[in-house]
Amino acid sequence: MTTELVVLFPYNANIEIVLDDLKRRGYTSNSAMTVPLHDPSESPPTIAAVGTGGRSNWDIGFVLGTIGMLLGSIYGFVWPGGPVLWALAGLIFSFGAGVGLDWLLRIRKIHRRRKRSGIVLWIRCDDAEAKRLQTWLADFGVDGIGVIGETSGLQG
Amino acid sequence: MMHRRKSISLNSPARYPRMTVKGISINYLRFSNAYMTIWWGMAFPGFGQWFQGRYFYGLILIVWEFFINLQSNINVAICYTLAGRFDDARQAIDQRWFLCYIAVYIFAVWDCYHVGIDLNRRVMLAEREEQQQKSFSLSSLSIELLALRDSRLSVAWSLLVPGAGHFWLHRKLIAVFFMVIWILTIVQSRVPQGVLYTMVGDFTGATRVLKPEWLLFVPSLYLFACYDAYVSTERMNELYVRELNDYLARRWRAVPGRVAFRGGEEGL
Repeated sequence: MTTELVVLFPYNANIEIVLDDLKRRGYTSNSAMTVPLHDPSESPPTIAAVGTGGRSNWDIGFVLGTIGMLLGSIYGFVWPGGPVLWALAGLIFSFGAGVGLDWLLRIRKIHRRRKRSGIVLWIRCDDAEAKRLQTWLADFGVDGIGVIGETSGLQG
Repeated sequence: MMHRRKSISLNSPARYPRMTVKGISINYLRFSNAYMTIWWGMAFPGFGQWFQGRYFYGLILIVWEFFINLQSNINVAICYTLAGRFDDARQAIDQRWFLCYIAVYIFAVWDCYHVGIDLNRRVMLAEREEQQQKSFSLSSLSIELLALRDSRLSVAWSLLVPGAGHFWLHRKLIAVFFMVIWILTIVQSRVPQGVLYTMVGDFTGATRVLKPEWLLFVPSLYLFACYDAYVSTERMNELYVRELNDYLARRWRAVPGRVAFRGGEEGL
């Protein structure tokens, strides 16, 4: 009887090691396949990206942070406390203000953080092999293993 | 799947390669937001170009900025102006060099804006093009590799030493540029001594020892290095994920019909 394993991998080179090992054990692309997961909201960049692309949620924070740090270091020469202290204060305060402002501006137009779910690996093997594969896969830091088959891999 | 435009053959070189992983460094195409490009170009001539990945030309402008700013004494004049001491500002500025500063400054900003728009059109095409990207390179001097990295960590390293975050990303040339100009700037502006005096509470000592003509370079340098490390990490993660997905799709692609689900037969 055959069992099917569905394994979720994070993005690193472990998936390549696993696939190479599977190939050596005689698995082909008929018995092992990968399905990289994409963010469904992802679409090809349009002409609008020429003007608005390359934005991040921290932009305003970095801009205001630079200005605040600069002003702090300048007025630090005049004010008690010295340039170092005022530069630091200016940086922290303006960076925070900038990030907050960015957040406020984003409330309407949501810049979502890009999600990276992982890579799904599907393996078809026989029941006895399924158990061995699961113990072996556990060493590769997989995010999860699912079992489809006659007998559940977990209950034995 | 997805939005890839089929190219004639994957063996033919890409018209607009997304990335180069070669020799001792990595460079890649990225969307550069027009406002951010102008901002960094104004904060420090040359940074707009660096933000777009044009390192050689940016470096020339940065060296020029250090030279002309120190010659015309602009940073000191800025300090006096903001403190309201306009006569001192007038005295401080070197008129001989000051006028040379303006044209190059404006040109540097104009250039990074205009090239940025044109570059973004190519980035759009590069994103749509199906191409065989590299994620690893081995040469006699170096090893470059892509991986999924935490952008918070690269910012944290850059906060300690600007350039360190870029080293971690295997962007070694730009990392060296950052470190050299950073170390030069803080040593010349006496920042380490200023920090030391401030920490022991000797604020007048700190004010006396710090050199404003160099100190005013620090904020834009420091923040740009952190910002660039952040956006670089995000972009390189994107490119790594894409490369790995493409590789897996070539070698271990799931084809409809090959996967046999048998649960249904048991009345599930």
